[in-house]
Amino acid sequence: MKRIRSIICAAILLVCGVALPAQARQAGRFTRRGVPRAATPIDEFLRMSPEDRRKALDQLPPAKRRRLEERIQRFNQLPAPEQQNLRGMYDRLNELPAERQTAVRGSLREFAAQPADRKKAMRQALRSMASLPEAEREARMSSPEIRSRFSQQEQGILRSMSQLLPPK
Amino acid sequence: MECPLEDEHGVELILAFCAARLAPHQDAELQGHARSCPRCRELMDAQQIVWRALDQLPAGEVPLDFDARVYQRIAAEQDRAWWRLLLPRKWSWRPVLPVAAACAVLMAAFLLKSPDLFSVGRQAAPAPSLQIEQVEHALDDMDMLRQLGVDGPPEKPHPAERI
Repeated sequence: MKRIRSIICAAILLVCGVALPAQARQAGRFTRRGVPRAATPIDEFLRMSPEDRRKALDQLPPAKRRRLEERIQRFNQLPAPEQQNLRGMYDRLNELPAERQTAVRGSLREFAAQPADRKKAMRQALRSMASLPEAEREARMSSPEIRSRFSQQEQGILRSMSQLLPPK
Repeated sequence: MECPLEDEHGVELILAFCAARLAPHQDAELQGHARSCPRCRELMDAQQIVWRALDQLPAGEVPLDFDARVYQRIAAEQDRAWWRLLLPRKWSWRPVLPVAAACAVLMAAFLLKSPDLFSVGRQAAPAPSLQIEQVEHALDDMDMLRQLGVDGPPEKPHPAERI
């Protein structure tokens, strides 16, 4: 009888010790740095009760409130894969140290200020880098092709943006 | 004989006398004392009145199947505890307690190590403490990121999946 009891105890401890951490390691729950992933503030907002949303929005002046509601609605209407990619980049941006986040946001603004044709060229370069393993992206950034096609400022923007690319 | 009412258990002695539960020599002794003690006699008379009143109460009729019905009800009561049938006859909760305690300790340790493991429910219903400015900043970030137009390989679903 004592032996059976010991076996039951051991089984329960094993289940507690193995199953629960395994559940915790489920894909998508943690970021690459092992930090538990939180929902973005937009997601948190969308999951609020209507009453809580109203309370949060009441803090804003009417015009600003209307604009914000429209922006949230636009984001929520994006196709699911695009939302996923944006959330991924948002997560990676927010995982960076504060100074680097500021630098990346600065580069994003610089990118927005570029002429349309240059933006198009940079997008293409970023897309091609996204398909590479992370180790090869650095090599690609230093490649003669990138150096010849992009100015110093553009290379800086690309280097900054490449930190947000999804892992391959 | 000393007056029983002077004694701590004297009243019980008188009640026992009235119920005819005393030994003959005690009975005779107490009767002798009561002749000369008005307090004891008064208590005995009062108790005798109670007994006589009880004797006059009509005795309830006991149905013939009284025993059978009692046993039937006991059996029905036992049947109600169906879950006991699942347990061994000599089941005891005692050995379960250390296991439960061990599980509780493990669970507590695990929660301390990663407190947000079980916070999925809380995420589903976030507190209204979320600052609306955070939402605005997140939207600003999302707008800037969207202009990159980088699709990349499909990512694993985010825990905060589309609503």
